[in-house]
Amino acid sequence: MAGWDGEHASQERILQFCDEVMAEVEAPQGVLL
Amino acid sequence: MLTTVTIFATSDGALTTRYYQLLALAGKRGVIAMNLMLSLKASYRAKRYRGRPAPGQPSYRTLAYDRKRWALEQLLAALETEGMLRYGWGIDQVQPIHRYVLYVDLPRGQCSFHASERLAGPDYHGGMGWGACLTGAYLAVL
Repeated sequence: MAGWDGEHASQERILQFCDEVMAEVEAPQGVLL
Repeated sequence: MLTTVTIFATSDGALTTRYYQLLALAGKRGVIAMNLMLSLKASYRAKRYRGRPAPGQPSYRTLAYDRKRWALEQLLAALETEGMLRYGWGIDQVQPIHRYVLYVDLPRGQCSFHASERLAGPDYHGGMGWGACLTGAYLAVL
């Protein structure tokens, strides 16, 4: 995972995971930031 | 609606705190997501900060690395509690200082954090760098 490509992909996966978890919160409760 | 990418890039503390509060509503997965984002933000900033608040005080970079360590500790505790995601520590032989690597296998692929010392948690027993399936759509907008 060393190097920019690995770091970049790692960051993207974290952001996507957070988006998916946030969608779980927003969908049933209608919450928007 | 603000996206996760916006939260990653912003320095608005109140907005970020509100985002973390919402993530925490998702239970254990939410706590993991929150601490992943905390760790990511701290790591990103630690690599870019320069200078210090005042002579004799810790540098901004040192403060960011301290925050990253704290965030990783919270993340490790959340991962242990949740118990469903594979994670653990490996060593990056190429890195002279930040050679300890925490790997976490997220549903869509692996993420990792380098650290100067190994914190709590098991050895990592998965493969390295699997699941490279994203296209750059997230960070391309930063």
